[in-house]
Parts: sequence; structure tokens; C-alpha cells
Amino acid sequence: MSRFAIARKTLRDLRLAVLSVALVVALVATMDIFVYPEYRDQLANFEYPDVFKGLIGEAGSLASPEGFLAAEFFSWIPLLLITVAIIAGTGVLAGEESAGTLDLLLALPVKRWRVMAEKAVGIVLALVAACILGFAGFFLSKPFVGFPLGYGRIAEGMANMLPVTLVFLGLALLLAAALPTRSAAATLTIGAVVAGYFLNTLGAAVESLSNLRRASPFYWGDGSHVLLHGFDWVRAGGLLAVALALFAFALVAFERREIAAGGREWSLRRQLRRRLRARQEPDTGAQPAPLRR
Amino acid sequence: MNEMNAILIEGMAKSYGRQEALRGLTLTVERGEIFGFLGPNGAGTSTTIRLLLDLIRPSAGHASVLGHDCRRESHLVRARTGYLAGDLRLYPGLTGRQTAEFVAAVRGIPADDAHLGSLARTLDLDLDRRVSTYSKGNRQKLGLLLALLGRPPLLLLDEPTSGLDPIMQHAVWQLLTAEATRGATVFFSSHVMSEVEQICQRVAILRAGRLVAVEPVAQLKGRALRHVEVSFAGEPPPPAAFALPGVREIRRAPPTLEFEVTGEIDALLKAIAPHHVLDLRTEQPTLDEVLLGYYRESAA
Repeated sequence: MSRFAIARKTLRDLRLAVLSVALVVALVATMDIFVYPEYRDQLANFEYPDVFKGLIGEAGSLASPEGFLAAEFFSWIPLLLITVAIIAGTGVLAGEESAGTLDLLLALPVKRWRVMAEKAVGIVLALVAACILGFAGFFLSKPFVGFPLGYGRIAEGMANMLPVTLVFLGLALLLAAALPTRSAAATLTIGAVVAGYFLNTLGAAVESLSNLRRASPFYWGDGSHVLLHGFDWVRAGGLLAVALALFAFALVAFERREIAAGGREWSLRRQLRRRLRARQEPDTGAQPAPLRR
Repeated sequence: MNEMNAILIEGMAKSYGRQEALRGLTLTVERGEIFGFLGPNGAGTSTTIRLLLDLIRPSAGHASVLGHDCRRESHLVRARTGYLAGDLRLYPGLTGRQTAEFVAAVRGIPADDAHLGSLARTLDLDLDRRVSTYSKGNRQKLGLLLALLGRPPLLLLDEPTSGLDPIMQHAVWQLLTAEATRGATVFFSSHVMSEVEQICQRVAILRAGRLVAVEPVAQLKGRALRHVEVSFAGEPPPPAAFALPGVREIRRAPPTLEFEVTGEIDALLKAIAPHHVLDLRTEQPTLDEVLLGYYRESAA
């Protein structure tokens, strides 16, 4: 097999999504850099509610450059990347199956694990590309304003968005491989993202939930922690280990999957109708007529 | 396994819950054969092809293709097989050429422009247009081209001429015959009986997931009922003269008699030979008629 043909195609398929996300990330980065000096003094005396603690993280104050970026950028930009990861992760398997093109691909001499691995590599490269291109917003605007945080630390913050994104990519791939439809996989993954995000945010404000925060990937991917202390290899490694475990389960589920023909997708309504019909017309056990001779 | 076999299927079954799509199929296809696989919708022809490619898994039995087990060595099976899906879907954003290049890259075969160009010319296909702009016929042509890329030793084609005009159907039959001449095995499902008559050496008939016949096309047709109409000069011989095995007199309108004959008509010819015959007409049964006979029995 030619080198990474499937990964290259996946990357090509995602190019518009990458450019769109990168543009949004770069614009938000530029805006944050330019508005920070204006808001810094006002934010120093701002009395913010406890729920903001989850967004500001360890930085403690919105007036600090770390706290400002944590709340205004790193608290929600990962959600954008995660959205791309979910769309792409569910699209490359369940999406291709419902489009009928997975039939074409899996009839070629390539093992299923490789199809999934190459598609995952393509998505990861697309996410990395979106982060790098989005970083250009910081890179180009910072010299004009003199933002008091080094490029290196911001880059570490950008890199820190990837492990948590990959956890949800792994989950999306697993659910897409295990569940019959793309919409079911996407809905459950989005549910997990929403639950994790609110668990982390509320856990910062509500004492009784503070321990539960640790169950959320967003807690371990806290941007302010990295902006203050640098890239945390242990936390990132832990998240990547979870992502790899999810990916391994996804491979097993994909190996076992039966591929629907011609883009037919599983439908609860159709299944129920079929079962109802089968109940109304029980199988008589009739055998086909004997061969005419 | 016998190395002469291109396909060996033994006791293969496939169920979806209570629904049995395939029931204990046992079938052998020899190398270099053009083999027709016939059945009405839902008979299990597509299911069989998808089982051979490991796209779905059997509930029972096993199969091997060109000496490779379809489950354990499925990638080796696919490396030596060109496949055309019955309900073909392609990447709409790619051109025909990009699709062919992608398939060639995944197959690990060099992009042979001469072969690609030759196939495109034979199929009258513009490879530089986006697939999304293709008609159904053109998508089918591209599917055939993709199956033929790299000259695989086995072609598994699910209704290869579906959506093609008669001229193009003829071109495809010639293409498949040429593939068989170079040594490839062609295994294809079809509802179009005329193409099976045209190019197949043997056919298998599947009905409700069960194999009902595997035989050479000529034998299958020979077994069918045929109508024979004989006009005599003067009074025809009495009915007792035609009390022959496989022969039934169905109409007597002197001087003409009409018979239904199963299998060979030799006995009937010998029975009428002593008499003065003005005219004899016999209708060769089409494969459609043969198959309709099989299918009607299943409905009965």
C-alpha cells in the first residue's frame, strides 16, 4: 500500500474545517491580545462570581495575563477543536458507512485497524495544523501590544488543548465504531463533553463537587495551569493514555463491525417496524419448493 | 484446498436475527471461469459477495478465495480481488482520476496511466470530471474501472451492467470476456439474463438464500420446457404416437400439433420423421423463462 494514502485523504477532506477553525482561533487570539490592556485595570477590581473560578483556573485573577487568556481563550477554544474532532471522528467511520463509501474502502487490500489508524492520524494532524495556524493570531498581534506573556508559554497552552481534544476524539471513534449510526455516536460524545465541561466548571465553584472535577478531562487539561507552570507532561500523558485506550477499544469495535451495504443506516423506527411485522407474520418455517426436474 | 478453485464456499450461512439471508451455501468456482450468480432481490447474491470480502461475517461455514481464507486472510483475498458493489457509492468530491489514483495507492499498485486510459476509452468515461457530476451510468463505469485496476486475478461484480445502455453493456461483456481470456476469474451477480447467456460458462441460481442449481448455461436451458409446433401434410398421427418421455401434446388443431418438450427434442423428431412434415417450429427458451420457472416454484 502506498504510504498513508488514507491519512492523506482524511487530511485533505478536513482541509476546509482546519482552515475555518484556524481562522476563528487566530481571530479570537488577536482580539484577546488587543483588548487585554484596555480591560486589565478594570478587571483587577472586578468582583466575579465563584463560577468564574472554573474558567480562570489556578491563575486566580482575570487581570493577570494567564487568568485573562485562561478565561477568554483557553476555557472555550478547546471546545471548538473538540467539535471538529467529534465531527471528523464520527464522520470517518459511521459517516462513511452511511454514505456507502466505507464499502469501497474496506474492499481494498488494507486491514481494518490500518484504515482506522490512518484516519485517526489524519484527524490528529488536522487538529495540530489548526492549532499551529491559530497560533499565528498570537504571533502576529503580540508585538503590537506587548502582551506580558511569552510566546513559549502561549504555545504550551495551545499544545495543551490537544490531549483533552484527543480524549474526546478517541471517544468519538469508539462510539462511531460501536454504535449503528453516526448521529448516536455524535450525540453521546457531545453529551460526554457537556457533562465533563460543566462538572469541571461547577466543581470549581461548588465545594461538594470539587472532588468530582477530577473525573472530567477538562480538569486535567486546565489551560491556566500550563500558562502558570508550563506544559505538564504528567497530566498530558495521562490524558493521552486515556485517548490511546479509547482508540484501542475503537479498533476492537471496528474489527467486529459488520459493514452496512449501500449506505443503509441503522434506524430504530425501521427495526421496530420490522420486529412488529415479524410478530404479526410469524415464520411458518416453509422451505423453498424443490428443484424442478 | 484445491488450487484450481478460485472460490470455495462450504456451508456458508448468514442470519440477521431471525431472518436468514443465506442458508448453507456450498459452491465452487474454478479459475478462469466466467460464473453467473443469479437470484431475485433478497436471494442472497450480494450477501455472498460481501461475505467473501469479509465486509460481513458468516453465521456458519467458511470460504476461501484463491487459496486464502476469507476471514483470517481477508486482506490477501482483497489484494487479489477487484470488487464492484451492487449499490456503488463513490467520493463525490473527487474526480474520476483522483478516485482511481486513491484506489491504486491503497491497493499499492503503480498508477498505470496507459491501462487507466485504455479502460477509460473502452468505457467511454471522462476521468477529469468530478464524481458528483457523473450520471448513474458513468458512476457504474467508474466502479467497473476501479474493479479492473491492477488486473486482479478475480473479479467479484455485483450487477456490473446495472444502469448501462445496451451498447455499453456489450462493451462490458467484451471487457469481461477479455479478462477471462487473460486468465482472470469473473464471478458476477445479475438480474439481466441475456448477459449471463452471452458470457457465462456456468451459473448458480439462488432462491431465498438457498442454492437451487449450479450448471452450465447450455444444460440449464436444455432442461427447460420448449414449445414445438409441427404442421403435417394431411391428418396428423394419433396421440399415442407421441407418448414419449418428456413430450406432452398440448394442442391438436389439424394439420398442426403443438408439444411441450422437456430437455432434448430428439425423441419427438424421430416420432415425426416417418410422416410428411410441412413445417416445424421450435422456440428456444430464454434463460429468463428458465429462471422464472425456478422463481415461480418458490412463490407457489
